[in-house]
Amino acid sequence: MGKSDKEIWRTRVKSIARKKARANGTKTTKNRPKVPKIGKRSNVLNIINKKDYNFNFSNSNEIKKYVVIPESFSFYTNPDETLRTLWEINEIMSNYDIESLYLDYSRCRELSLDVSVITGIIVKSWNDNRKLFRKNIELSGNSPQDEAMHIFVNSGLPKHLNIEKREFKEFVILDPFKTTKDVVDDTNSVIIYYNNCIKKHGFELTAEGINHMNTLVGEIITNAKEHCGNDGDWFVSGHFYKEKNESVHSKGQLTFISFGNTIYENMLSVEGKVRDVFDNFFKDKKSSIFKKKFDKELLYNVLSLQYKISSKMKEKENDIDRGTGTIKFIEHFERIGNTLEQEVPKMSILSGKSLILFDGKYRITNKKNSDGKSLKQIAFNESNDLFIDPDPDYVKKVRYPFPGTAINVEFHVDEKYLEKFTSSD
Amino acid sequence: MISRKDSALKMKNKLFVTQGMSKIDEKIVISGREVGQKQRKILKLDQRDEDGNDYIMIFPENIVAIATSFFLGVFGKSVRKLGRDKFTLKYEFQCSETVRKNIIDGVYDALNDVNFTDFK
Repeated sequence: MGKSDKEIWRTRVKSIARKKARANGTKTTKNRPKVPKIGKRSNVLNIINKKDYNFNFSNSNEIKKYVVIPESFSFYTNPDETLRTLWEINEIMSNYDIESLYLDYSRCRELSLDVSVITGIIVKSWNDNRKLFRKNIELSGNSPQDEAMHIFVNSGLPKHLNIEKREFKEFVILDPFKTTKDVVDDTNSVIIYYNNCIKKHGFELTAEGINHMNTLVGEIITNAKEHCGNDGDWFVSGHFYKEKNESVHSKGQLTFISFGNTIYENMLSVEGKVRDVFDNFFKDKKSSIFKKKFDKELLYNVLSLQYKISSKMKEKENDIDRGTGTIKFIEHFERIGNTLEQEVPKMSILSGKSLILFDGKYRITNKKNSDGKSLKQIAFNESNDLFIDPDPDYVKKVRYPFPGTAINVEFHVDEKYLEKFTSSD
Repeated sequence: MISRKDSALKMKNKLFVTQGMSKIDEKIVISGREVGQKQRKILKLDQRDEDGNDYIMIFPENIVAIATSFFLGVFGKSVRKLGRDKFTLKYEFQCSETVRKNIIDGVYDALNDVNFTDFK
């Protein structure tokens, strides 16, 4: 890794002092000039630096770097290679000795919105930071192919770096860098954005459709804000593509990224009743063979999705009814999404080294006990039993960590939640 | 002469649940537990829960839906303190049908004290 910001700044101060001393004809640099504060570095960069996402992928001394973007640049289908590429880009951008970076997207055929946004966040954040230290980097590259190009051009790096300024009518974009970071404002922005997308097809969400979207979107945004920690940051983005052939079912992607505490890190800090629940759960699992396949992070993340499980649940009066939001957003994702021509709605939740996938194979079901109580649960196995191993194809450990949580949702809205839209114009 | 029913109706004070929320007329949904907790303080519900009065809680017509997190932030404590029946009698809601369903779900979640270990 290159010099730290502090080292660069110290070098600059000395250099300015030496120049002034020479100009004044003096030898010493006793009275160093006051260098104005450079301003606060972005929370994202602080998070990445703090957690030390430096794997030495880019360890040669060349000042010009070339990164090949994989064919599938998606956490859903290719998480390990995707994460490796992101951290390679991060290392290069953070090394101020490197002067140029070429991103070769020519082989990329699949680009998911969450990965596109994260690439933009990493590159833009470092690019802005480098400018403060006058350590600019020359950024260049080419575009991906097929559908990946739509996301790249309209919701990807060229847009985030303000290189691509064209507006394409068939795309409707929700810019991740232009949200207010207010839960109510941003939830409304996402739903109104999505409603505007489907109005292009002459339809709009019914009240029930809006309700489902509010649970889906509002709970994710609330979680992103409340759980990323005081020093974290979060982003929300959307990408909608209107097919040239008229179609009722519109395909869109929504993504929610938070940098900060991972789900596992939050869960480790739980107290009181939830702590007891977890301790009892792991005592029961002690002799299970699955311990060889699944580590605690994966299990904690599956448990964190369940009803009345929240890292914020404490014994305090105001917090004992927490933990309902996550299971509800999964339930509403299942309801509002529609399977169309074999394309199923998909969702991925990446947090730390844990990746959980949704494609309709495992769904929330109501469990009942002998006391007559019922509970919504999702366990990612055929029995929907949390005391049995989850399917390793749906609950996976990835090779490289993500410093927070990334959720990507891809779906068509079921037509029963749509009604005819009549323009008032 | 004022009937018992009329006098009961007259005693209900109206409160706007979204009082003080910025640009609420431009919104269609509300979510967020912390947003709800802030509204709880603004509406002084800790005191109102115990004051013996009944209230009509009004949501603006443009609000189509509220998230459970918001409802629990505002009313969770009240539901647990008063119980379902007393809460429903004390706080009458004037809102859309969808918000009414959200409130029913919220009351259930406030009182439903189960987790997955109860279902081994």
